[in-house]
Amino acid sequence: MYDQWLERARRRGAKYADLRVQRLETNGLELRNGKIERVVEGHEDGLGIHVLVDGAWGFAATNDLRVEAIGRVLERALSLARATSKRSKQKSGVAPEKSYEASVLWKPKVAPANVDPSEKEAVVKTMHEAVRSYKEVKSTTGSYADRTLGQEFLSTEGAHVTTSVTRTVAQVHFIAKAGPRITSRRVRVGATKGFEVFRDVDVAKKAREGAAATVRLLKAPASPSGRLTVVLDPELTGVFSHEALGHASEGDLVAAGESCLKGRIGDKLGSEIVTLCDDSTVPGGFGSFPYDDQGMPGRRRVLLEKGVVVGHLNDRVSAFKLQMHSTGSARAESYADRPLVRMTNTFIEAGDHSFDELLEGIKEGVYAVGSRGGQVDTAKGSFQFNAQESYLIKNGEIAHPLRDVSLTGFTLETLANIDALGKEFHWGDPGYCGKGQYVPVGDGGPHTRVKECVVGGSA
Amino acid sequence: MGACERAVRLAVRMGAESSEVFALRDQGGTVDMEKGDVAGAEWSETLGFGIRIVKNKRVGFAYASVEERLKDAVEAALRASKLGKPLPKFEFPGPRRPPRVTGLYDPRIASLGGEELLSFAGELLDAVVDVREDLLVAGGGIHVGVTEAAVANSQGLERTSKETGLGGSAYVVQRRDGVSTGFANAESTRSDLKWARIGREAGDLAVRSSNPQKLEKGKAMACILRPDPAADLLGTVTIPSLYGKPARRGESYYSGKVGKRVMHDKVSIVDDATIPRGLGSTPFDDEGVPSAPRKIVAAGTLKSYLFDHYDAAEHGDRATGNAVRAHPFDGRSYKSPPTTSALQIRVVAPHTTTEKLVASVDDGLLLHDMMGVHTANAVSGDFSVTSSVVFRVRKGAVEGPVAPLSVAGNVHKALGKGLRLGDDVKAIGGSPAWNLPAVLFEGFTVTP
Repeated sequence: MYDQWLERARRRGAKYADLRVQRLETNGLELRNGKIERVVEGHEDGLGIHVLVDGAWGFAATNDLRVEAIGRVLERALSLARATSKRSKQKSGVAPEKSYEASVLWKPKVAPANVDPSEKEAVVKTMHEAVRSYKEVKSTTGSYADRTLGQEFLSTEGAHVTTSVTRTVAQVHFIAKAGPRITSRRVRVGATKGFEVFRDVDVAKKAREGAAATVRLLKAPASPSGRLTVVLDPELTGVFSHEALGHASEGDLVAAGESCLKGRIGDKLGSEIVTLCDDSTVPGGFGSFPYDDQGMPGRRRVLLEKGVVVGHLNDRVSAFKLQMHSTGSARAESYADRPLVRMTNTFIEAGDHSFDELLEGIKEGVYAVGSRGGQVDTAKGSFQFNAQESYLIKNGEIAHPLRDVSLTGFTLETLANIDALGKEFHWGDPGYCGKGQYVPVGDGGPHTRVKECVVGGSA
Repeated sequence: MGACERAVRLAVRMGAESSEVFALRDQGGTVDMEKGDVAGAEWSETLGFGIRIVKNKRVGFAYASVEERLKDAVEAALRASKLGKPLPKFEFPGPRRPPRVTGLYDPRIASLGGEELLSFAGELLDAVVDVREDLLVAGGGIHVGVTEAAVANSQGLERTSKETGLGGSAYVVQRRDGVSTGFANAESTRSDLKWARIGREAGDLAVRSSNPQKLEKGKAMACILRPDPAADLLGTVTIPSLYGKPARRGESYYSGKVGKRVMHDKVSIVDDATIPRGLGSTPFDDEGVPSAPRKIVAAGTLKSYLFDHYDAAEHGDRATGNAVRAHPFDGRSYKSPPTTSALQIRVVAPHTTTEKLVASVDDGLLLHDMMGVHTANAVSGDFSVTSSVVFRVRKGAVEGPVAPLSVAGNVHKALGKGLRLGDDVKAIGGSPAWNLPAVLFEGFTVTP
């Protein structure tokens, strides 16, 4: 029934047009100290139209699916594209790709809609009780959310892809206090799955481990600062993969000249033990999807192979600019947003060292575990991220906890300074990546040893 | 408004003891820039309804994007209320006359089309190249928005408001002797922005920050934060710590400190949504409570916390007109029940011209950006961030750029020591919005 709008777009001068119609159903609970605070249930339908006219793009969206509204936003998209075409010096386009017709409905094993709200509440309560078993944990905020997104994608090239994806996530954020020292932490469990995610993972154990580590930190001294050897745990390796390397690999940033990896394909930039991938087909991965928001199938993509840059992430627009192919990396936060080049599940492949071997020979260093978030300047190739917990490494052994460790560096320098990787691979907690729009992502890797990493502590 | 009133009555007919409907219509567009050119333009228009009901003293919330589904939403809200905890003191606000807040709607902005936005982008792009030909606008754009909000409840409250916003930003890269970057932005509720000024400011900064010298060693230094990083730091650590819920629950640095000295006695923090043309100004909050200026911290003494009606009812406090519907990803949205937020913050402290502020520093830094502020610990006040566009200040003068460095400190302690302000007051949008000049903090630790 939406074909008519694409046909109209073509008649009105669009060389290419696509349309995404979404139906989003969300359920959420918020708990404070184990008691329900808010319950939110909602439905939203919406539609976004992307058109290419005279070498320029226009995009318009509405959550009113009546005929007159769709007609209005189509005209708006066309007029924006025409106006852009008059102003724009560089002509844009869409990289040629096969058009897909498919219907992939990722049905969860346990549909959240069939789960009694009290069971959802119980998951968060379990996490709450697990962290409250430590007397230092003074208060908790918890939440549960499930989100089922149905999407129909159509294009003037004949693509017609219907998908349905469910993501389910629960978390507890807690504050721990001992004497004058106070700190906080979040433990999150989630996947591109239904309610079965909480039957696959021992949420109580995970929450307890988070609380135990946080309590240890309360007594920890501040970190030494300066250039030190740092061992990153799998979650922080994932954050480095995502923040420092992944963003710099995004084709739209590369094409815009905002990436330190611009023009570096084929160059050996990192240690040869480092292979970096982005993979939207990881079963249950928080960033996984069957088809992207331009109707291209999800796939695994190697970005850095044995230290050599072998590819970028592209949607069909950045692929046109870079004369490359789409990697199925077009993602939009919602129907109301134009798709951008985004990561999915990003990771460094495992190496061959045991954890003890990684620590061997380190006179003074830092073992950094988990992430409190990070940020990156892809043009300069600099990054900053903060560890959730950290430990001093002294003479090849873990000595004692440290608090508030931040790691700073230049991506390419750091990449060259990775001299050993652990042999066990783990995914970090599910996360959300912000690039003007938020999308769910996963990241992970092995333990990673980095020489000469800039470590900053707090004052 | 008609749909809101109908839904309020519908909810009561369906069994709610009281009800409230908030509707938000958003229309807006953006033009993105990259590689020294316009990259694309987008537009969206959305309308939706958030409905709150009270039944058996319990509050429930649901939302719908079309009026036809309001009945489903009422049913969902009634269902949700069964899971909620009893809040006997909760009630929706009654109708009180809101103040007149001027300059929030500009019909010239409401009538802007794609052509005009693209011409604004053109002015901005041209100004960057005028600074130096090899500068490249790598990101940024122009955005415009028209927001109409309506709130109605079964206490007889009915309010509507209409606001406009227009803004522009530029992220400029210079590749000459390495890479340097510059950034500038501006926002207004009126159609009065100087697009070329944004381009010039970003371009100048990229040129001035090239060839940075490494700081010789780590040490404690006076740091002048430009308005954006200062608002980011205070908005992450200080302001949320003043919200009633965490404070009353003992989860905030300010817990149990009402009436006590919490900052230097020359520092005051004011939440004021009545400033004419303010980016966070509004005649009433998202529950319909009239706006009024409020000193949260007066001369260093904590006066009160901020509350929406829900949190106020939970803790036996009064709502302070600080309800916002803030979605974690979407900004202001009908999809979120109200939560507490400051609306528009002003900081009052000893001030001078920004020039004299710089002149007062013997050895320090002028920071234009801070990366990673969101990782700061709001409870302890500790933060450790990176600044990559930063200049050395020596003997009262801004010298050359400094290579990216790590800045760490404690915001709560810094506010206790006091701060000084410049006069380059900038309107910064967001929740909360800010009217803030450059801020001089003493004693942050800097590591090269």
